[in-house]
Amino acid sequence: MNNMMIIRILFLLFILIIMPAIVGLTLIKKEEGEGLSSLLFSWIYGSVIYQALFLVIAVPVILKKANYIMLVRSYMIAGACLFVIALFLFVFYRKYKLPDMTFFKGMEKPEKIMYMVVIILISLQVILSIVLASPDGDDAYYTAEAVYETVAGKMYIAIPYTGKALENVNDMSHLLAPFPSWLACLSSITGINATVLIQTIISPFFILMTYSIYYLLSRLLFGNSHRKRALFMLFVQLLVIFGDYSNYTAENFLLLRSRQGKAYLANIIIPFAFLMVFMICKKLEEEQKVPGYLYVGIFATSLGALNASTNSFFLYPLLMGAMGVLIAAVYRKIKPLLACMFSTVPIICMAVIYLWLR
Amino acid sequence: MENILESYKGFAGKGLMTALFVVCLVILFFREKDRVKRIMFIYFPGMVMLFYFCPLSDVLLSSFSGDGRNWRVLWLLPFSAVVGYTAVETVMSFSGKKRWISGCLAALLIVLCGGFIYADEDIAPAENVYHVPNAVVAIADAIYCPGREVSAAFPGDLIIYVRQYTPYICMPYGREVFMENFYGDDLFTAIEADILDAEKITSMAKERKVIYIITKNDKPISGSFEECDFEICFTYENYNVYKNSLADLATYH
Repeated sequence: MNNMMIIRILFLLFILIIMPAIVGLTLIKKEEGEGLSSLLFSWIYGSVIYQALFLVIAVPVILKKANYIMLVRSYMIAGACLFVIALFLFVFYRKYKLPDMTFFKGMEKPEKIMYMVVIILISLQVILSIVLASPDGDDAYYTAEAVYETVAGKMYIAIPYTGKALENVNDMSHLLAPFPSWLACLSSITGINATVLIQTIISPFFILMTYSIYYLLSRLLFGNSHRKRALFMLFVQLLVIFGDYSNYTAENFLLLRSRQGKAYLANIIIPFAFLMVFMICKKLEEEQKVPGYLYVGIFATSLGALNASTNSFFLYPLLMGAMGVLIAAVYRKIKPLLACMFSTVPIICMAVIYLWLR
Repeated sequence: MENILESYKGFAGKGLMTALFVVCLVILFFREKDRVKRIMFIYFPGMVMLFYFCPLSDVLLSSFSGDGRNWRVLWLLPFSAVVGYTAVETVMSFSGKKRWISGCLAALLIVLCGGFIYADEDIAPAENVYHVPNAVVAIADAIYCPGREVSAAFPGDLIIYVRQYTPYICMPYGREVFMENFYGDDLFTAIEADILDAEKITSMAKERKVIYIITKNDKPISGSFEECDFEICFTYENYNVYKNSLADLATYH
């Protein structure tokens, strides 16, 4: 690996970790307690905000058959502006301090050992995602489309499978969920070859993000009991590693197809939305005010879902509809129900466009 | 209803993990007192499963996803969270040696009900950073022509990788040849045949303006590619690459 490649990967780390984390930290209220949870939540929250931003820019650009370079520049400028504003607020207004990062503080030896095993297992999965190839026919579309965009500078004008010109745009399922275009933009911005980025580099980020969501969930489930949390993470590792009981499980998609939008939807978007609704329910149960960033979060997550896959047309409204109805029935609160319903508005609009254009 | 059960069977495999999930739901239903956890781990999954198995939902979902893909609704079920949480609460309800034994039994149950992902037949060590066969890289680099695209017909085992590596190679057929409902492609069928009919393959290739034909070199050939204006220009591992000698790459489209 030469020096230029190392710089490019560091730049990618900056784009995929630092920028979303700063944006997330600016938007959320610091939760009392463990620092690592705040940082992880901020990172995922900020990543979803960036996915939402990309969708808002990309869909009009694609539907208007504009230039790919215009998409890259627009996303770069918008993403950079968002980051600069967040950094300014973070540094100068100091709404909160950086979270305390002493992770193992107060833990007993068995808990430290269990967490070390969890870290080793996750590291192994990350390494294997890089050194093992898991071919999938859908990559002949998604990866090929991303590679084409970075080279040709055009989007969705050729059939990715063969390279023949697309005579009429009738494949709305791919146009309206421009996840490959997002990956192509990352490739163009960082200078990393699109195939290498998609097939080798991006999977570790998504795997780490997924396990971060489970870690955050463990905090909601078990509070400060690190023994239970570590044990939960160990069982989750087993459930994922032994999740290949069919080719259609979310676990199979996580470890074998994590580069695809469907996998991002199944393993990051849906669990993160689930996590935020869990947090809303906890606040309602404790009769505390639900922070506004959670409502903003579930709305942004719906846009992230749209960016990932058109399967979100029915999955996200079902998720939010069921959750909203349950919260309203149990807590007799209308605001969370309205927030859940409102979060599905972009999806319903997009679904209407999809059915009309199909 | 048949559609729903078919799609469920496709998702659940042997059904052991989904059965374990349902058992965990039942355990939580009787044991879990926390209202938030009941909402997230019992009532919500219950609603999703009711929706999934309702015949009316099949009609609604088919309008978006087409037949056979409704199993994606099952992604909404928090399998790992429910099973993991139930396992932790059960194990921690014991103490001393019993805790260790119950923990090991829970882990064993998960292993037996699941499938080891790294034993999946599709996984193999990556041959390069692109995660495509080295043959695709070598052939694509060899036939690449600066400033233009070239059309090449590949055998079935390489098709899905070519345009992931480079968009400069167009193909007369692509991944669609493996899809259900595909009408068939004569050139692909001829290249995949046990005996390669050189005259048939080359005449279809010329008709479709294919410049390169890639075949497996362990297959017998009936006739001669060279006599049909396709000369062998490159061999890599067990692949022969033939080029249309009449095609002038400066002008051929």
